[in-house]
Amino acid sequence: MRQPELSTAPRSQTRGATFLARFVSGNLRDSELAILLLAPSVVLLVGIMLYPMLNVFLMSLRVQNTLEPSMVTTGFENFSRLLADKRFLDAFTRTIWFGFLTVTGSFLIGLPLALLANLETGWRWLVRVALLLPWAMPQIITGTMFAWMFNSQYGVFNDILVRLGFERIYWLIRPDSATVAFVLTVIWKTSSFVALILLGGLQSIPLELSEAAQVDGATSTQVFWRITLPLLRPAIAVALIFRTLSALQVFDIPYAFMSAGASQSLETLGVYVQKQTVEFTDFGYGSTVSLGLFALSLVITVIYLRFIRPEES
Amino acid sequence: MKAKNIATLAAFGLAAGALVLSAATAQSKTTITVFFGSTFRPDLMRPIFDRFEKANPDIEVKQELGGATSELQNQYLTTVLSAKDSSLDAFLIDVIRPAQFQSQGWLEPLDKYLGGSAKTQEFLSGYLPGPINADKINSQIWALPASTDTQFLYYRKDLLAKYNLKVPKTWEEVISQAQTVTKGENNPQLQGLNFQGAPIEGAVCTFLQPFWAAGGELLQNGKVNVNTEAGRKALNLWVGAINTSKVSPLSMAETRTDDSRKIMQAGNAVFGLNWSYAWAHFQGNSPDPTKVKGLIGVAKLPNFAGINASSANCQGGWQWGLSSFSKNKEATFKLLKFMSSSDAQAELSIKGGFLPVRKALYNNSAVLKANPHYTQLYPVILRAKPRPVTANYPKVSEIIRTNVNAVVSGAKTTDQALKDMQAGLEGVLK
Repeated sequence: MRQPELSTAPRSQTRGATFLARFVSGNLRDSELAILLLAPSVVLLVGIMLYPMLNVFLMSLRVQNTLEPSMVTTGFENFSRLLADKRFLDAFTRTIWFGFLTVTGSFLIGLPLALLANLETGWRWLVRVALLLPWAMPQIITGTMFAWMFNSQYGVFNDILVRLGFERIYWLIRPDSATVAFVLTVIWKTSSFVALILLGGLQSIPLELSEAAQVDGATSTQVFWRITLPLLRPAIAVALIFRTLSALQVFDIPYAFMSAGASQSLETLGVYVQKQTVEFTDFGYGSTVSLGLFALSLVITVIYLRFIRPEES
Repeated sequence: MKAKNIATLAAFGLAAGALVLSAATAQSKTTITVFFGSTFRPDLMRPIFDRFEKANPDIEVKQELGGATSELQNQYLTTVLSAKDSSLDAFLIDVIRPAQFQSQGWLEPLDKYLGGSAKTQEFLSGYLPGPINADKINSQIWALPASTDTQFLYYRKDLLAKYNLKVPKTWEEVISQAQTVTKGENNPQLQGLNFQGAPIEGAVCTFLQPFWAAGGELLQNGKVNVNTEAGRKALNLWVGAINTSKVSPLSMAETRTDDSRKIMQAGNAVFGLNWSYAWAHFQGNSPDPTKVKGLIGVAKLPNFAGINASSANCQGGWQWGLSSFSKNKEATFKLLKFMSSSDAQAELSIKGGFLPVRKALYNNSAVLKANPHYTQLYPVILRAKPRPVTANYPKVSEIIRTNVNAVVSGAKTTDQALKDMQAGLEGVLK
């Protein structure tokens, strides 16, 4: 252990000198220098993250009368309203269900994609660029684009189906097909993200391990299940947490689909927050719903941290 | 070396001078930003703004285009105005919004710009009463009407003539005529009856119009009364058109106003419900090509057989609002007054089919030449009924339009939707 470097200035200049004197002469203590350098980032974090979060907590106490929107009081009624709100509970369970479907789907597609991108072929760069594109596209563009492609009259998917002799599917109109369309779109967008993270994990697995196993007579499947996958656990954990949290907050894609005609069957928590806050201008209740979403995210994160992290060690 | 220095200095001085000069002239011009939806014919608005700029050389008008549907524009305006942002000086809002906007404090009252309440009365006397009622709150005027609107039944004159059919007067006739024509034409692309079933603002009218035609009223004796026979008739009209008589495809559940217009403009609909702006598009005054020029007739919306309703028309229309956060209120009001003038109104009507808000224009020969159906439909326009005027309108609208969409898409039965509408509206309408 290196000894912390002490100031080479004579004791008389550092001991007992004021902060300002030490600052000017360049003899700040290490801890003081650390605080000074971190200060700008802390201010930024407080301003951009902490202040709005506190604002949301305060805003959730703003109770707007449902009949007379200009009558505003302060209190905890929003919370009791939240627990009795059927629409909130529907959005809650729907978001969890959609999250389960899209997270599972993105892993089922993402892992093979990562393995493909890891292969030593000349096309590797092409696969990696193709992987990057869906994730790089802004969510709302993805949503609007796919909503148009799923359009029952003019959409590309129905055009292909009809040309192949199948029946036209009313994608966004019927609730079950709207769910399928939504899940497919989200999987398309996020499996590339999962693949990229898993690719990073795959790249860090030393080749000698699988080579040694193959010398010992293991098949590629055994190599995959017994060596690759266990070593990929940390990367999987990271991808899982990121994917789950963003799946809980999903807004752009269901919103784009609902604007294009999908029924309420796609209303997730994110969409419901927007509806209350922007459309109904009930900022208080919208903040309360977003606190519900925050609580859900917190619970899921804690679950992950307890069950996934210990496996790493 | 010395000459080079002088040359450099001179060039620098010239550039600096030009910069200062241009900055000075730029500052002397007031720029006002006007927001309206992308379907409100920016190609027709821009020349009118240019004429205003010519008449007022110190004002520059920038147009900012918004979403294609009323509620998308509303969400954008809500975001900007909730933040008390001054970037928008004037905006065009749907007729249902002034009450909500005024209660939020987003609109500037216009009486003082018009010169006091007496002069305001005089100014407004030339306007149709319907639009004024939407903009008058607590005896002050909060927005200037830009256009009024209502839905008409557009039909293919040529197809009706081909099958010897007379213009339908009842919904039952519409359905049977649509069946006759579509069976005869045997064209899978041809829709019998086209309407808007997507969860847009217009879907509220998709419900209210047949509801009123069936004798229904949203509020009866101060109580919400929508789960009635009239409500059932209204919703079953559309459900039947899709599932029973099959004159409308299921895609109506994702059809919005401009989608409807495009379908009919391409010649793929026999009957279609749409607002006044569609007429100009059908006649060829449109950025899109038209296959139906001269083939479209306009009729008032049908009644139900045996029911004599006073009016079955939804009052639409757009209003110019002056943002209370604008930094150029005087200049912006000048523009709003200009847009309200007879010339601007007439031009938008002749070129865009927008219904004028000035009574006199319904006798104007140029306006009537471009829109021959105005004379016959003027009484209908006068009798158009407003949707509920309440600051809580966003919730009312959401309840009605999402239930209409659910019924049209088949996600809910008519009875369930009426139950949900009744329960929902009871909580927000009084």
